Amino acid sequence: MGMMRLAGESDPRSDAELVAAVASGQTSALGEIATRHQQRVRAIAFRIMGRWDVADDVAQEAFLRVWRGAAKYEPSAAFTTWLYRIVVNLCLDQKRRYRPLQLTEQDPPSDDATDASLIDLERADAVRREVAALPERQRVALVLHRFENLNHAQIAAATGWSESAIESLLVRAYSRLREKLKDWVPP
Amino acid sequence: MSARHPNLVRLLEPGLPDAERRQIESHVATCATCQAEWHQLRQTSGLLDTWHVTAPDGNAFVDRLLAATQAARDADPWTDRRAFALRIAAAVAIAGVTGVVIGLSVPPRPAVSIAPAESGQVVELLGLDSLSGDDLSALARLVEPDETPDLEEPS
Repeated sequence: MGMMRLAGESDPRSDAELVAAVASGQTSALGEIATRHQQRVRAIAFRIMGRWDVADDVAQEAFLRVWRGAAKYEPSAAFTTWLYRIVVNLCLDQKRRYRPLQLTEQDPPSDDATDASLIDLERADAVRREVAALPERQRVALVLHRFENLNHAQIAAATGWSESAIESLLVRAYSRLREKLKDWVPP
Repeated sequence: MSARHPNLVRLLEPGLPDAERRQIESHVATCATCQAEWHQLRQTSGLLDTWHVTAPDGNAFVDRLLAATQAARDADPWTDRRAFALRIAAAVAIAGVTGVVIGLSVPPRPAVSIAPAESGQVVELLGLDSLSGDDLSALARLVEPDETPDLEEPS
């Protein structure tokens, strides 16, 4: 007996509806969830882990956990909070396995890159290196804050850390980056 | 950071309440130290924004994910069978409870039967209507192993 959509059939299903569908055995709904969220999940994992292969492993395992745990999902909590928490936990677990951090991936500049675009690439690479060099918890907090635009409360929900801890981590992360990246700041 | 100065990182936060934003901004407007720090913080934040990340080939990622779910299901076929067994257990439990309730509430009858229309509804309700003939045979064997026991009425 499949899920019926009698009205608003063309409307995209909400995350909660899709998770319910996954819980009832509809694997195609997992594909829909992954299509919707894979870009952000993989970007978070990449910014924390520094490698696309590891980031994709993390992202895949995160969606597999959604698949396995769909029946336990409480729609009262935002799906993305649950998803990000899974991703962050997996990243922290992976970090313990993959020390030391290897950060080597960068898109090579194209042949017709101008001087200006090369500088942009170098600047972005410096940012990437310095973010990667942050202590783990500072990096996680910064990635969620700066690149995913989560506020302190949302970061706390995604990490399980207190809001005051998040605030302290962010202050130290920005302070360190300000010092390390000062040469890249335009005059 | 000194207790006298606000946490300027808060100003970078999306959705910061207006009252808190105004309070911090009014301090910054009168504090040279915080003005300099806020200027540097904005520059650092702007630098971070130059790091763009685009995950490659989303369709291939989703395809791999769905293949992984299939592989997991193949590696643990009991996942589906457990769900199937749960449905059977639910069916048996419902039938048992129904039988007891009927047995307690109506005069003794030789047997409890379910009308075809009702059994169809039960089958649909339990999601058993999509089962193959083999599945239904297996179900019948589980519900009625070898011999159909006589339904004893409560004394």
